[in-house]
Amino acid sequence: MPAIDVVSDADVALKWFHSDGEQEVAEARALVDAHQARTVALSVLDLTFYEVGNALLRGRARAGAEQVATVLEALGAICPALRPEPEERRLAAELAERHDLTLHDATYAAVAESREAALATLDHELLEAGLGARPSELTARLAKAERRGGR
Amino acid sequence: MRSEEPHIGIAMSYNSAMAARAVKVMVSLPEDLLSRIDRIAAERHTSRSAFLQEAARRELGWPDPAVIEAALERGRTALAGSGSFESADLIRAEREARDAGDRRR
Repeated sequence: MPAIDVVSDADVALKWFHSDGEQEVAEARALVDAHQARTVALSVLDLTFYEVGNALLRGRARAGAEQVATVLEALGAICPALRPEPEERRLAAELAERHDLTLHDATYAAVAESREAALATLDHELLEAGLGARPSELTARLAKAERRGGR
Repeated sequence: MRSEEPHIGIAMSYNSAMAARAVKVMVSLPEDLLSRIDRIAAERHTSRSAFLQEAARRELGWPDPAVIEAALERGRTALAGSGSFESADLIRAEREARDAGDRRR
């Protein structure tokens, strides 16, 4: 059984494919390794595909349509994309209001909280709101759980 | 199965393209696990059966490690020449641009 469930923010998911200039690449990729080993149940949200695609197409990456399509197809093959339930949308609205976040940002936190999962993110707004954890924190937590399980 | 585990009947159903019919099965679960399932199912306004179906599909549908590895390779090859950037900055900029666009509407 997985030690922890993890919902990945779009910024962490993008690091699974891109490394040049990135922080915490090894830790972000360690989460995928753990997912392959089934010690982490990794998922993204349905909106992650739009965020990753937009960032690649319109951001500094200036990726072309073919590159974006390949990355999005690959993302879909790695882990399930969760669709927020009505109650999770309600919780997202509450979190957005409480922490002055956009509804998109808060949806990641709401889905993770509702499903008793950790949110892996490097987004400073989600981290400052205490709604997510850096990949390095999660890999440390995973290593600790594995040490406990190995005793 | 541990002998101290209580035997609790759980009705599960499945739908197939060929025949949508519910099949009841008997499974044994520890009471504390069943309590967690019921609590989360209630929070999500779903039934115990629906929750267990979703969990089973998730487990059965877990991607093969070789499929994940191949997908990582395809994605990394696609972005191999995309240069240096920090994904958190890219995604944050996209979120702020979207938020600014929403506020202007």
